[in-house]
Amino acid sequence: MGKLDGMVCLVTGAAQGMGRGHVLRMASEGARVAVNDIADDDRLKGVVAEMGGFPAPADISDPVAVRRMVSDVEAALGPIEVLVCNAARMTMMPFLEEPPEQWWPQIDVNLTGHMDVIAAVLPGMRRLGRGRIVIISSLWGPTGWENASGYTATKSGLISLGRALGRELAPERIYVTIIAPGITDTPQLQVDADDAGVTLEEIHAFYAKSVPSGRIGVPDDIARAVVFLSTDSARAYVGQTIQPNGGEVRSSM
Amino acid sequence: MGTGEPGTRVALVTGAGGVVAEAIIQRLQAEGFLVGGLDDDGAAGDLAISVDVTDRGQTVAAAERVVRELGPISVLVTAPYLYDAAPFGEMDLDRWTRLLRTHLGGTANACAAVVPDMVRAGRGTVIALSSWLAFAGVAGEAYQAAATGSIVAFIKSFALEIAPNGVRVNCIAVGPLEATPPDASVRPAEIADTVVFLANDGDHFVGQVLQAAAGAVV
Repeated sequence: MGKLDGMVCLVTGAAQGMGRGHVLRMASEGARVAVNDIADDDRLKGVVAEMGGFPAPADISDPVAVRRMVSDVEAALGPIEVLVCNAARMTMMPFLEEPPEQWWPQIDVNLTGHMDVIAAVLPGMRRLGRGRIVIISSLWGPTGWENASGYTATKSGLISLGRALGRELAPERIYVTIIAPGITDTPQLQVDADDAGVTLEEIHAFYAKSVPSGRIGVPDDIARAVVFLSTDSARAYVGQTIQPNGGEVRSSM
Repeated sequence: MGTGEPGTRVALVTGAGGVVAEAIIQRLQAEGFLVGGLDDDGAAGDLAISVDVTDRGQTVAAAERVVRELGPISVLVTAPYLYDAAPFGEMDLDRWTRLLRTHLGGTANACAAVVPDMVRAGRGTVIALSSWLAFAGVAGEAYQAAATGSIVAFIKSFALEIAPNGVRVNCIAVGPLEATPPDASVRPAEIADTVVFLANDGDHFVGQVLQAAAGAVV
């Protein structure tokens, strides 16, 4: 018996990296998972084929596309009981050099996009009388990071959004929690390596040096936390942030 | 009683007579753990030992007996439950000392008794229970807040000291067990769920405080 048997879940940004990890772990725990990403491409189809999920392509920065996606998922699977807000855009550039047309899309997807997704799934959760919203922030949400002003603004914004909605929705048995993962082994690391002009192995070693436990995360470290917060145990966590990061940041959120 | 089958996991729980520890012991046993329970009053578990955890020597001896009779300890849960309150300035030094020695001292003694073997084994996990009072700020609770808050500070530093040895140390800030409305209170079973999560699925949690406070601290 799985921990999420029969539960309808929607994961945004799930064609690769951490989102893909959430989908695989949640499906292995018995969930029926809708897999969102911006493009209905081979990566999305691959994740769906691997775990028998439901494809839910949409650009979440487009409110019309979001409403259509959620209604398609609900028509196919029923009301969404667990939403995982995972999709993220990130560009790295000094704040004064980054053109607004590159800076703003990070806000539009990561923060505003997820506000639209949450607003679209809430009526279904209210009909069910329960729900779980797990927001994926980042190590860089609480700490900030140079040359990532737009991204970190969204990631700390998501923590505050989760706190506010946690308070607002707990009386309705809809529990909102946040995970701030440390550096995790995803395709983003290749981008970071290319930006820094080093090899993938070198960037792994560089990041691991700042982790007290001596290693960076793997997607399943984060996915298992997502599963935990999707179960009834989440009731004890109202607007809380948990931080699987190997000890790199220990601030109490 | 005695050593379990090879591969059976062993946990040690201090403050085993408390209501939260009772739920934790049951959940760990349901997960297949053999549990040693330490308390000076009404201990529980597969091997219950009456011991004063404010005494380093007694705690070390009790942990050695758990290892001898049940097997090597892979999970340590510290669950002090002594509660005392007075307006600040009005608690006798004896009472305050007992409170601090039970919370911070008991936690530190249990770590000193159990963790060296974990370090030698290169694995193990410590889950220290603290309180929402360490974070919330509540008038009239200065002593309890200081005693439980000291656990948080100790655990974060200790976690960094031993993380390179493969031992994970984390903390759960337990919310109010009784509150109005009842939905604002935390159930012992929910704390037990978090303990099992950290033990089974918390490989990447180090030096963290999980606030299982049902909204008392946001």
